[in-house]
Amino acid sequence: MASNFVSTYNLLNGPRLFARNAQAQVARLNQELVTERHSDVGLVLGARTGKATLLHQELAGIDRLKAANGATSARVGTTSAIVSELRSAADTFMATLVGLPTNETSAATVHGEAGRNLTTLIDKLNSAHAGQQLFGGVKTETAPAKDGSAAVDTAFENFRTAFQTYWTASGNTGTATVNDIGARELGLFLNPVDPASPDLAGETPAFIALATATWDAGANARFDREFDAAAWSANWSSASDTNIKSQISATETLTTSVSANADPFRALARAYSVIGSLPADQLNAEAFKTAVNYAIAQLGEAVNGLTIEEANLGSTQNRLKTVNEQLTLQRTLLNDSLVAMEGVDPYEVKVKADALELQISLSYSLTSRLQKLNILNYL
Amino acid sequence: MSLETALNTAKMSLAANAKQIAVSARNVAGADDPNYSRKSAPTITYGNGVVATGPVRASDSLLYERYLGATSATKRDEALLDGYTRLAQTVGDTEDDASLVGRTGALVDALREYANAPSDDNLARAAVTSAKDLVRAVNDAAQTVETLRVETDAEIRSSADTVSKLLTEFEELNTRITAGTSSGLDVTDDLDRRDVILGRLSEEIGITVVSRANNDLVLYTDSGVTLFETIARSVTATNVNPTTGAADNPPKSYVVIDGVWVTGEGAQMPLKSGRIAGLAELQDKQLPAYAAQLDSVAFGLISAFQETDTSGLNALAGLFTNAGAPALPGSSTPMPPDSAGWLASALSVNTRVDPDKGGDPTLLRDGVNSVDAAGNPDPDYAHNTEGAASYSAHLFGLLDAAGARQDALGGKTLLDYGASTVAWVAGNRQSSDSASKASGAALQLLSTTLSNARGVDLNDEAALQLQLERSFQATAQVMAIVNSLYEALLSIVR
Repeated sequence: MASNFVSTYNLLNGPRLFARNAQAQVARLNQELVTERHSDVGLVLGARTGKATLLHQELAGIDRLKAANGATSARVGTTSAIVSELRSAADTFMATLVGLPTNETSAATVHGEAGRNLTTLIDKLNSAHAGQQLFGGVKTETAPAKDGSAAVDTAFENFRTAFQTYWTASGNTGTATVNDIGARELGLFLNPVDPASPDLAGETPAFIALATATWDAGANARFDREFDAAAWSANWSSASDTNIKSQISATETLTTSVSANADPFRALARAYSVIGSLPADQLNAEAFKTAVNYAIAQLGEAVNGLTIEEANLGSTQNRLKTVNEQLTLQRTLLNDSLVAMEGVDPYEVKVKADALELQISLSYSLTSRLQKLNILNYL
Repeated sequence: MSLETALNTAKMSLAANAKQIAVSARNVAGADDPNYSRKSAPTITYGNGVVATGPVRASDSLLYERYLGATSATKRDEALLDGYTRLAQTVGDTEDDASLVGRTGALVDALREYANAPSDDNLARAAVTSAKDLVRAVNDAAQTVETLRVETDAEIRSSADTVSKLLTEFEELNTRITAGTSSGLDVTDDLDRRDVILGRLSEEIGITVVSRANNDLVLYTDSGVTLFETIARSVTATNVNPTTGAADNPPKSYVVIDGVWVTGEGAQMPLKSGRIAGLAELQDKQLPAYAAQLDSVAFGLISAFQETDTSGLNALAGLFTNAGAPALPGSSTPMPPDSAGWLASALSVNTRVDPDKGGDPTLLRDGVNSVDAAGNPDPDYAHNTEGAASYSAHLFGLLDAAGARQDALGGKTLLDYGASTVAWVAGNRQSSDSASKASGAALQLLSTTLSNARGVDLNDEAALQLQLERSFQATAQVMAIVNSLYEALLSIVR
């Protein structure tokens, strides 16, 4: 009996209760239909929500990394273009020097050209990209390069004083001119030799004295010393030796700058200074040849070094491109797995929503019919 | 046999009929009340006629007990689900990045951007802003837990109060019912009312019902403590946290019934169902567990960004501090698992890097402690010795530390630990939601069955009334016939 008995309360409230639940469901399904995501992701995923938030986080991180890599790539590109310009200028100047006829006009010409090249080198090393110094290492706010040729001139003056002593000791009278400096003596200025070295055995005491004077650090009369690390930092460059590092992916860090303190730039400065800062146009033919040969050697070293720097920058740019491509791919994969976790099939949702709406309208008509279904109406 | 007897029988039938109509009218009146139980007045033969007995209630005590059990289970699950849903607000949607994971990740991304371009002050500001967002997320989560603990405590108290009041009402009704039953009065409406009280009691606390003679009931909690036997037993909520009020020390109440602890740590007979059981589970286990996780996050942040001096022996708090203190959280700081959200609510961004508090965001690059409190350079903590604008080694060090596994976080990284916190909340909410749905569905089914077992069907009552009307007419007819017989007899005498 009890199983056949339905109370009026249940009869009238059953369809109403269903309609109330179903309406909430329809609202949820309609939202899911628009967003194509679960309306309450946390409730559906449960413990997997942690994983989903991590994935979302990685996605956001990838977008920011890609933007940052784009900026880095532009900076590296500009640096590379400048290094390439300096290298081709060095190439051209080397070609000029190699094919140089030994006469005074040509000496005057290259003297001027080397001076201009030195100025260009300094200007180029002070290039900036988006307000950041490119060659300052991590000191990106101060222009790194300055003209240190005054110190080179001082060294040459000191050398000439030592040479005057040598000139007098060698039995000459009067004041020695630049033109009087021989190739061997200039060689001592450019590449000083240890006076104790066996290479100087059998030389005159005056020559040994000149070698001693150039070798002596305190006398400040040698060319190469004007370009060593200490003098370079004092007179030529305020750049940091530490280069800019960039994190280009979650795990990969690259060096993305070239410091003005790098060897090739110092070699370039030596090459341009020896012709441009020293009075090369006043040297005699032999000494001028020594200077030119010295410059050619330095230019060769510089071009080699700059080529290596260019190759490094190129590979950095290439790496940035590859990493960004990988990041794009990774982004797609992450997105796919997020959609798999959080997404809903819109067709399924639509079918469910339609079915529910049908059920609700049925339940409404059922409610009104049940209201009519009363024995009193039939008595 | 005489006409007298026939008239008497008819009279008895009329009386029974009237009683049955009256009972049916009560049923019609109670049709809309889900707590009303159908009454009937079955007739029995008595002497030469019938009498209507009762009224008797249609009831199913076994079904009702199952209904009470389902109510208690549902209320327990709902209380837990409410708590988890509130906690889930601290996690938010996976998409909107407001969770601890989202905020931690945003900080790491901002730091990486800054490390890639350390000369850009705007990126320094952005990194500090991200750090402040993260701190706010941790603080807010701690605040939510704190609020929830205060509220849960209040709810436990009011729930215990409700139980106590209901038991008093129950006592009054029960006394009336037993007295009424023994003296043969109609107690059916009181029985209905007592059932309502039982239903409300079962919402707050799981109960077992044992019936005795004279409709007397004895109530026990589902763990076996006596709630009611002839008289109501005392139900109180005792505050076990004497220093209530401090931010790190939210109030905490244990429920004591009849001198027996039924909730809390070391409860002798812990409750299994009812709202109180759910609230106690939240108060004593789940909320402290979440608070301890938040504290671990805060501790992990402070130690990941700490700065070591050149000797490598001393360390100071860096980007994140404990209430602004330069020292690292030490032995005097409450630590997980007993810390109760203290560190999480005290976590703050070092004022030295906070531009809103006069700090310098670029200190993030050079070392937060590279200047001392007075603003003078501190060589022990100096990192950017060249003063280079694009110095990034310290920032990359911070990035490494932020991504490193930490013992304090159970060997997880900050992000992974954040994710496991999110997973803890969402997982608990999901399982609690499905438990609540299941027990809710069971309750729904049981109430339907119960309503069918004891509710009123108006059509049935209408049919019954028709039947009574017919029987009334027939009885009246009998009386008319007896009357005419008497008329005939008396006219002979006249």
